[in-house]
Amino acid sequence: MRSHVDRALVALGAALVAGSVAAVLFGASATVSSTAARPAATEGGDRIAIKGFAYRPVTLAVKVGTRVTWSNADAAEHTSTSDQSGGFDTGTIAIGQRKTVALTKAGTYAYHCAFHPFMHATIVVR
Amino acid sequence: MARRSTAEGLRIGGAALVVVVGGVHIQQYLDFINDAPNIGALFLLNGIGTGVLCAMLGTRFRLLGALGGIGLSVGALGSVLLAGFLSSGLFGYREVALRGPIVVAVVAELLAIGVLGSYLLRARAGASTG
Repeated sequence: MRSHVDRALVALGAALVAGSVAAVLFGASATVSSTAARPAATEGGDRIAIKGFAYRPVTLAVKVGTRVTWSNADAAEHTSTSDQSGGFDTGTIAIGQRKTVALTKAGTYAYHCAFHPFMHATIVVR
Repeated sequence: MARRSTAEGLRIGGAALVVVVGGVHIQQYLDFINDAPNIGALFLLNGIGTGVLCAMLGTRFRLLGALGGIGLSVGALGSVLLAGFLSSGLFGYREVALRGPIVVAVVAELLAIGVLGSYLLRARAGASTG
């Protein structure tokens, strides 16, 4: 004979599993919509958004001397750190904050997040 | 009688704490962590796992559910420690700041280990005394 408490625990557990499955479905639809809204891979301008563990645009083309600003719209802290040693490094960009770096030499700069190395992007300075 | 009601309280309290752990992980998954490779999937598995364990705590497999709740909490605590203190992070994911949801999850995991551990000890003592 199962008690009311036992039945409540089973129902609560089932609700949590159902909620997790719903999270997958919701997350999948959110990914599709954000992909559709994503800007072109290469863009001009001087601003890079960090959202969803990705830099947007992935490749930015700027002129020598441009001050490039990264805005962190994620719920985690990030950095924008040049892959080459001695290159630029914004340091920690706190949640909701922004950091700016002046790029004074022409070249192609690949960079990543020091906290999440799977995040990559490139700036082309002409 | 009192021993039984204490054990019941520990079982229900432990289940509630496991639900809190899973709830925080699902909330974080929905909020942003689903975009992080590997880590997102682990958060989702945590949510599903806590749901299964909570349900088990309401069935005749309750002792197994309690054991699983302890294991899951220890695993989640170990993971957040690795992500926080390992320079390479966990699957390339580093947790830099002590965010509010992390604090809630860590406290719930610590309490779940204590409460479910106490429940198992009481259940074992009850079984040995008949």
